[in-house]
Amino acid sequence: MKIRSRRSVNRQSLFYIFWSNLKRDRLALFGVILLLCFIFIGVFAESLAPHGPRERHYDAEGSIRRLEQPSWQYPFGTTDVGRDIFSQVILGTRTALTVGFLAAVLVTLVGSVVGIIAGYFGGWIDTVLMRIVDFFYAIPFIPFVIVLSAILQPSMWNIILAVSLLSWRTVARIVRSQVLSIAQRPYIKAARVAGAGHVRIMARYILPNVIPLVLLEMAFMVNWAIMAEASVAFLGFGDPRVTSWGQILHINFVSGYSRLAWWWTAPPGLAIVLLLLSIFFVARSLEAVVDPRLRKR
Amino acid sequence: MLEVQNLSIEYTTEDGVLKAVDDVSFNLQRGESLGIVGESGCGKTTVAKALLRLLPENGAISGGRVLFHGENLVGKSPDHMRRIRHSKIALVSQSAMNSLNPVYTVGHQIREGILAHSNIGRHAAHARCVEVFGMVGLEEKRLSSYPHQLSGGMKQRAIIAMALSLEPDIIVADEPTTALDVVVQGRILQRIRAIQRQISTSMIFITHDISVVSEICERIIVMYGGKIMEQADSASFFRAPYHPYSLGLQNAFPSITDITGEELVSIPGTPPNLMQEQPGCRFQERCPFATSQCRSRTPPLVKVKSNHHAACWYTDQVNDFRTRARNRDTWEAVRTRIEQQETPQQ
Amino acid sequence: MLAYIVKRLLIMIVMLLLVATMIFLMFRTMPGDPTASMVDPSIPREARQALLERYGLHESLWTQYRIFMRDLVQLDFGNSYFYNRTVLRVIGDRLPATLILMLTAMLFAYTFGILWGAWMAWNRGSRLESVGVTFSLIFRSAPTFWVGLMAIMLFSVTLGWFPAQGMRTTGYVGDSFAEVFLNRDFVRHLILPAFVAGLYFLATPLLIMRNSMLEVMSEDYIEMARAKGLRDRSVLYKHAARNALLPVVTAGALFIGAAIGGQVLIEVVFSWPGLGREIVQAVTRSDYPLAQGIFIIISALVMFMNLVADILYAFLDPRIAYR
Repeated sequence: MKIRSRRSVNRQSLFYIFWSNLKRDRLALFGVILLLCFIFIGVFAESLAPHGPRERHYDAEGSIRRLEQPSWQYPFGTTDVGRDIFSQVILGTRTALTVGFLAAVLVTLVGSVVGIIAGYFGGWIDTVLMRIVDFFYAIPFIPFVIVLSAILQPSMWNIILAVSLLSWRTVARIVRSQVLSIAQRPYIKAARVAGAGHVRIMARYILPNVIPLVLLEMAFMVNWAIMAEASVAFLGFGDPRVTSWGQILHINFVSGYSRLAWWWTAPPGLAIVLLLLSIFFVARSLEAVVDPRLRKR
Repeated sequence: MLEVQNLSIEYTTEDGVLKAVDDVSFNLQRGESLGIVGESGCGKTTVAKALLRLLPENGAISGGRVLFHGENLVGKSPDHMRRIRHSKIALVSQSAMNSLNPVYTVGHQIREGILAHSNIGRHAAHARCVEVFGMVGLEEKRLSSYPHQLSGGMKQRAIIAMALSLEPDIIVADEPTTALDVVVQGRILQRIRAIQRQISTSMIFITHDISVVSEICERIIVMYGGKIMEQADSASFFRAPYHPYSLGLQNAFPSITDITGEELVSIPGTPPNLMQEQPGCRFQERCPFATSQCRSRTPPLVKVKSNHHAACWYTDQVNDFRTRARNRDTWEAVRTRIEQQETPQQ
Repeated sequence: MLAYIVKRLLIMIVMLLLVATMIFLMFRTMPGDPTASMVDPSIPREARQALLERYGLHESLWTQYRIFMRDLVQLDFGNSYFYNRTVLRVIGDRLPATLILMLTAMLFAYTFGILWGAWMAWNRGSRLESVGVTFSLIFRSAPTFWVGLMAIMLFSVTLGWFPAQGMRTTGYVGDSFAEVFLNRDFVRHLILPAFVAGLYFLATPLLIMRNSMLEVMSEDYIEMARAKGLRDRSVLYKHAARNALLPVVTAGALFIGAAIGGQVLIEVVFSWPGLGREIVQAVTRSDYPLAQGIFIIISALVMFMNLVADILYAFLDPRIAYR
């Protein structure tokens, strides 16, 4: 009973700290607002985009609007085949967020489970799991994703899979070291003595304590996954049917106009920078909640 | 040689300004050893750091002068100050365990200090290292050890050797033995004392342990809440302290030399909050003999004997105080008083 | 020390064999025609069958694996269809370009990142500190290929300061290593990609150095160093920075895997004829033996640099005992 009540108090105060941090930390507030904007754009992308991503636009004389500079009608201008870049960037938001969040959830799920098991049981289980983690650290990330997406069909799901396959190791390692210190706490030992099963102890006593850390790692993983998706799409291994920021830049680069059409090159990149920055600021303020030592700084 | 006049030091914190040291004056003669005693937070370490001008970023000397050979160190340029540190005023710091950089050998760290102040060359510097290591009783081969390869006592002696290396005028020793066990502590204290006499350097010894001061210091300053409560020759002080706080401190520590089996009585309550400007004596809240006068007016430091000053309104009643202070009930009464004051607020 | 390095090298070889096994299985179990990984799909059917038999692709998976591993141990990665040369020779041609670009960028990023990070912590709360933090956060959030594209647009196309692509001006052929890499033309080509890669690498050492410095600066030995009357510069670089360096090395080792990824993108953007660009092209051209070989070599590179970082750490921290 006692343990339980303390835990809920703990959680409440964590949220409270995050909230009061937001009020003091302007960058974190900026991050939250920006992130909410991105999520809004992502959710309603189809209604917000004025045109289809592949739709070609013609002027009054019937010729294609090739490489037009930004105007009121086409805020980010047009591509070399007369497509509206603004609409593409809007639709790309959804792809980035989907890939980012799904991959991050998958990665943190696998990573936390492995980390908790390794840290809780220790011994040979820990050794084996950590060797596997070491192995995945030795694999170069982008080349692996390229090869994997070349072997499998290029699709958004395969990119999510590829990112997840290689990234859970980071989370596993961090969660494990946290669990190692938690497992030493008296109430865990008390629960063990009281005859609680392994699964019960892990789920009820250890998991709640690693959740703040896991959330933090998840924020970093969202960034990592968005960046990875953009990179793979830029290299041309992305899903050709799905509009994404990386793909816009891929077409831009392959067409050769990345040297001239700044309105084509700049917006998708800026979108990535802003989205990642907003998540980063949120994560940083989360970090202050997770790591009390940082609060003073 | 060293004259501290009306020194005041403030820390700027998130919650306001903290007056850590308030109007502290004392002087130090050549070859003399002075003990500054008090509970943690009384400002004794701050005084030590101020002498070397090593206050943390948020701390500043807000008033007073520190005259060293007649020169005021307050307001000296950083470079001037840098040259005085170590060569003229050396520090033996609080935590020997962590005061040595783990990635350099002990010898390197001592040599580095020597070479920063003189251009005698590496060989002469090394010879000096061997010499000071001998003085503190460490073997020469230990010079090439890394800190993690030494025991706590050895590290402490290395730090002392470092402080001696340039034969400074003053050694400021800030709780140099707190991290060590009692036996090692005693040995190191004796060694410090012997060396200090041998090379006739002056020493300021900062500690919370009054019995340590009785062993090695000729004069003593008792600080409380950033102010000096009592200042005297050790002999005079330990024979007959005047301030009620000193009486309490004497009860709280066993003497190393005289083990009579008397029961230890600690002073109830906690040191005052220095954020709040308060009238009256800093100690009145915990003083068994406090009166309304103590609460409203700050007592000045008055001469009670030759070379003996105390900041108490009632130095004339000290004989009565001494008798009562030996009684446990006197202090229990203070505890009850403090508890009663706190209860209604909760 | 030597025993430690030998042990690490052995572990590295085992790891490499595991990576090779993984890549073998990935290519053999791919959907569609698995033989495409070994035989150029564009050649006629009869010739193809002959080739299949020559390469032993009609054999069981286990036999194939044994042959694959046997060849691998002899550094035989097979032939590249596209270049019609052995994979090893293609890699040999591309490796120096990759190494030069990467090491230049890392040297730039780590030197600059460590010095600036130390300086930022020392001058906490100053304007240049917040500029530095913001700057590194932006460059950590910016995709390196996009920064490359923008840099080309600005410095090559608009300002015309640097060439936009390649490693040397078209038509230039050098015979020896010195002729190819040690001349002004090459350096001019190197600056822009190395700078962009450096910006990408910079955030990690800079931010870690700053945080680690802030932690180290509250240590007692820093106060002691000041009490010894050392000069500020000496306290900052010799004592504080020297200790703060340790986490930077650790993080650097973990970062190398990600750094190779950035390298691939930069090589593509700047048409830099290195391994990264080659693996992208090999995958696009279905030149699987080449892709396979480059992947294994890049893995070896990552592991080797990890090892170097660990040895460096052991040198920097006397408390580390070699196990």
